Amino acid sequence: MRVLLKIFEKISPIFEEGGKLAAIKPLYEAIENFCFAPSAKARCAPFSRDPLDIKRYMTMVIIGLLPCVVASLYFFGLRVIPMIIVSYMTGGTVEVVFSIIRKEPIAEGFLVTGLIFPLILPPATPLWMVALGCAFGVFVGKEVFGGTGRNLFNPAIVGRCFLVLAYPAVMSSSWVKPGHGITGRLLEYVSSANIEAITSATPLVEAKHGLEDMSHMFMGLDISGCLGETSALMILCGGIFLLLTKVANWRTVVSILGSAVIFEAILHRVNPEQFAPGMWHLFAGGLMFGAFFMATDPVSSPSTNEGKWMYGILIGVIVILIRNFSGYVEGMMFAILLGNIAAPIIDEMVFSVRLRLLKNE
Amino acid sequence: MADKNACMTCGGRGGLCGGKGIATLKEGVWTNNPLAIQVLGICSALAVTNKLSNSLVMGCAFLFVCVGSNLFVSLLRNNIPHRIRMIAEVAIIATFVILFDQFLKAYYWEMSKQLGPYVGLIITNCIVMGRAEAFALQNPPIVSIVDGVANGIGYGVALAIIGFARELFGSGQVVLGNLVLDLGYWYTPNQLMILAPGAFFVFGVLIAFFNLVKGGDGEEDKK
Amino acid sequence: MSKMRYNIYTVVFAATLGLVCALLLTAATQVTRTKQEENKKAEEIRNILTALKAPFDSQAGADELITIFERNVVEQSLGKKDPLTLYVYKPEGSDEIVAVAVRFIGPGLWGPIKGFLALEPDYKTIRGVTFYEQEETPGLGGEIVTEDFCSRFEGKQIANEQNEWGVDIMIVSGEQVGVNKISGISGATMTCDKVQEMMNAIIETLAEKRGADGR
Repeated sequence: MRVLLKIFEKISPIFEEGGKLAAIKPLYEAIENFCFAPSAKARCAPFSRDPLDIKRYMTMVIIGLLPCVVASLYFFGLRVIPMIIVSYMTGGTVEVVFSIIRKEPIAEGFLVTGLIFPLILPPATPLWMVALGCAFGVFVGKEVFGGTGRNLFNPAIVGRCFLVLAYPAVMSSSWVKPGHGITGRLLEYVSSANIEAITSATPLVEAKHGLEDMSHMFMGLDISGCLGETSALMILCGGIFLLLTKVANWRTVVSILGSAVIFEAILHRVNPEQFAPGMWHLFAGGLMFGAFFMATDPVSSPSTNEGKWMYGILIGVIVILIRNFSGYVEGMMFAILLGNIAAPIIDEMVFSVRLRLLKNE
Repeated sequence: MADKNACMTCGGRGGLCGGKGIATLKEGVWTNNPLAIQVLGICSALAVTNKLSNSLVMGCAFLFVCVGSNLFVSLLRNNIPHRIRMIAEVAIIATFVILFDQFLKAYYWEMSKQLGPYVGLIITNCIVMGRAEAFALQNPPIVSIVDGVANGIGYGVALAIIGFARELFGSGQVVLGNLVLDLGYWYTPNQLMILAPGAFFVFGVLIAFFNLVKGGDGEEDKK
Repeated sequence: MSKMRYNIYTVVFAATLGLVCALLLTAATQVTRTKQEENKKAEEIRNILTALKAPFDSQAGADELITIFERNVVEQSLGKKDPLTLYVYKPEGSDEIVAVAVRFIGPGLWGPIKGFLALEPDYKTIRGVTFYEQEETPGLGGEIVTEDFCSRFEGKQIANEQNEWGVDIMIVSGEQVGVNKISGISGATMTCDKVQEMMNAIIETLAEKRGADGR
């Protein structure tokens, strides 16, 4: 480490103003910050109370995501790796270009977006689509609004939403049958050319014909779906880590999962023929993954505690509504986007109520 | 073309338009483009621009209505009782819109089916109403026609640009009569472009482009 | 101008303007009405002829289509109560029934779907299907209008091996399908379900009416 630090000290002057490579100073800073502690502190959300700065915050999320990455490698094969690399490369390029234009340091927020994005895609999504979706998500979801900390929406979800609307046929036929046995698909490279591995069905698609066994869904065995979302067990491992380190707010997670399960349970009670049990929906699709890793994004979710409850309940209810009563089988993506839209209003409402209470005192 | 004639007749000093012709034309088409600068009439701009041909027909319909209503409002400008001027304007606009709609239904059935209710909705398009209220009511007929033409062209061209981009990226090829521009088999059509949300993105880029070229009165001035 | 006179002037102006506009529009409607009705009819005919697989020039104008239709297709009503209109295809000059078509309507995912189902004279084998006036999701449900999807119905039966009426649109990839099983559009489960529902409704009505007619 010391050697590395010396190198950085040595080369840093050429990136300073007047230096040869001053234009790409943000890039240099990002690398330095990634290796050592950042020198600058956050000026806008995600706010941090010492010792949790953005960088460490993002590192925690990445550690939390690792179990899901491992699970997706096991279930869907080596293709996960190029997907992650492509996502990092394109999104990173957009990020670097914008920080150079803006002359601002590169924000580490991208490290999370670049990893989450492939995890919420179907396993056989063509690589050019991964690149396009990630670039779109970072550009429209984040940079247009002013970069990290100012985005209204979760960039990864914006990217996925773009792909789902733009290439519906490809997106709905890129599911892969997961591997089993000791090695799973660890030694395989499954792409859309591999017809035998491709399926069009996820548990939510199949729900009309019969429900997948719940214990399978918990472990993620034989469950097709997006890369990171299939194994509830792995999501819980990473998610609970995030809750314990207080990186993800427990109020958001509990309110989303709770409201979704309760609402679905009520529906199930009313008409068991038509609606699946509440717990089943908890393990199906992206509900859990979204609740732990995406809805908890500190920038695009409300910042007040009361607001987080309302935000979570809103998302939970919308997911169930979309899953049961609309043309889409999975609603987590749209639910989080709608939640993101509502987040500033929710905060505003909480503030005005608080103010009124203060005045009355 | 009508706009050229109008331009020539009013080019001279103190001509038929009192020297206001070219300024009016430029204002409608460029500096104050109804769609890209004033951001008016978005409803139809989002709904019908999924194809170049649709955009062009919509542009024609708009041109016809805008010129017609401007002309008649201007002719009647000294006779319309002030109290009911808005209603009178709407009646005139509606007449022209329905005339065009009937014409499409009779002679271009396919096109009329594709445009659906949006030709009829020109009645509520605030640009037409705005031009009648803000311009034709205060100006003589010929310069009002020029204003109608300018706004019609400004709106139509903006629609055509959006329509072209959406059809090209949305279906991989642009078809206009016998002319076909094809992106080739390697291109996977982007369905989002066909949907109304796709129009928002193209529209946003168009506005950005206008502001960039025109330079100026955007947010950059505030810095 | 006194207030009274101004009021009268306003009323007179409004009335005159209204009258002129109304007259203009009435005239325009009168002039174009026949044309418009022809167009409407021609569009329906185009769909019926396509479903029946009756040959016609795709560039044909409205009046040509109407002539072709009148020469080759006979409209029959089936059943006494709420008769069902059958479009029977007898090519000009021959008396042999080549195909029959019925119209079906039903709710789609976003809006109503209309279409025609044409059967061979055995009233069991599907000759052709067309859909029109649909507002399904472009790229998914919207694919029902494509020739690729419509042609999947051709040659299928409207009853299964056990002689139970109905077609079954399956969304299963790469599986051998039965006599009344049609492979659906993957990703458009809802639309396919609705289409199946409305088609089965018309198939049942047809079977019922034919039974009642004692044929």
